[in-house]
Amino acid sequence: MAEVASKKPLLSKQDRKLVSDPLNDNNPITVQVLGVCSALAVTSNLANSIVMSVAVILVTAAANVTISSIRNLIPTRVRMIVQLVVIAALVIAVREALQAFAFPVYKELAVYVGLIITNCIVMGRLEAFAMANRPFPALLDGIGNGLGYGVILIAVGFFRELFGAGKLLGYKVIPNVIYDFGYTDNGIMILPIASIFLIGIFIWVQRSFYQDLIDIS
Amino acid sequence: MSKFNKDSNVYTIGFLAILALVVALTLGVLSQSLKPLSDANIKLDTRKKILMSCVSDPNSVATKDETWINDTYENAISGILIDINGDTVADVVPEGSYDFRNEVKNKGDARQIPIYSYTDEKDSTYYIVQMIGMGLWDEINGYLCIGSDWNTIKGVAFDHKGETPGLGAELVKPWFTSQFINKKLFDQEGNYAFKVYKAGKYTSGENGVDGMSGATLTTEGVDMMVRATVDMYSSKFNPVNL
Repeated sequence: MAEVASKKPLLSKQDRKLVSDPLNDNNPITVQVLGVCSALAVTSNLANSIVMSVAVILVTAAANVTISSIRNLIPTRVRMIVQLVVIAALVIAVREALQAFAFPVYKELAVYVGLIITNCIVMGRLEAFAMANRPFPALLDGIGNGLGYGVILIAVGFFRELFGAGKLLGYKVIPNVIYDFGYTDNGIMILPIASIFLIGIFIWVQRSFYQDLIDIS
Repeated sequence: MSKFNKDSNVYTIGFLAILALVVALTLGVLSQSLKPLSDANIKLDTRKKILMSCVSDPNSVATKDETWINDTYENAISGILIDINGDTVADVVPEGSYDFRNEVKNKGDARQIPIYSYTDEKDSTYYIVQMIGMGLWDEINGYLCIGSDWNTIKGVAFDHKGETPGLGAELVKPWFTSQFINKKLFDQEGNYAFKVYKAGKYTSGENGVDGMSGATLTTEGVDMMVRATVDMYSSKFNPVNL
């Protein structure tokens, strides 16, 4: 990817594209098919999906900026090790800070934070973008990809919690009247397998609307 | 950068050494400087869990502030350590330095285990014992509050390290823990009869609760943990008295 030229308004058209592209045309989950593992594991309800999305946005953005700042110093042969060390260090720092300053959030997050280290999106963006671009575009790219990931996660979490438990964010939304007519919560929706179906459906719908996404991989 | 050959072995090793040093130093300093804060959080969280196992409105504890938790804890709860024969070996449980996990896993029959007593507003006394077990992925633990008959459960509070969110991690939720209240550990003949059933298999009865759907192994883990706790405190749980 070419370096984005500086001395432009705060967010040039190219800059905006860095954030908006991953939301649809280059979505990390449905188009690049990265980070699917965590999208299966933590989306059983909406609240978890939101928390995980926020955490991943923070880590992709921070890791992109860090790697981009030292990109000219990193020896090519060990660049992946360097990227992993940076990601792991950031994740541990976030974890320590949460444990000290926001213990209730830490207790909710502890499980996900470890998962972020193994999230292919973070390393994918470091390798594909941060290694070749300046810190500011890298920051936008990190935020954009984090958002693109988050959108899918939240959508999956929404459907799984709604149909699996009849709730959203822990509140009952399907009225009891419907249950009285014989409706039951769908047990398979709370299992990780449901995310496979849902993500498959998302990819199908997205590619029927945007034909040019077909067979790009 | 022209001075260095970025692909030379010396540069690569040097770079990694500096990186490792910087990262280790940063994380070390961060961890040590935040330790007092995290330790205080852990102590408060432990007190909160002990209270949640025994007070009549456990859900309200989560919304209370630090002062309320510390005041209530200091007024209503006191702990002792006992040995395997049930004899008292310490009049207080040293908060912060007492390591239940280590006692249970490494000390065998020499272990010292805590019993807390809780006195409620009506001056009834309850006992709280500590639990530890395995879930699907990692440790699960908690507190079990028991009436002075050592049979009727007053309440439980669970915690976990890595159970799956939305499935096994549901063990901390009120819908699960509130089922334990007023259930009995032993049947009429004095045999241990308490069971955490597979989700949907529990119908009725005073010796069981319903498990978590989609989390069979965590459910079994809770069942085994309660059983192991009664076994560990067998000097106190004495069905002959029933």
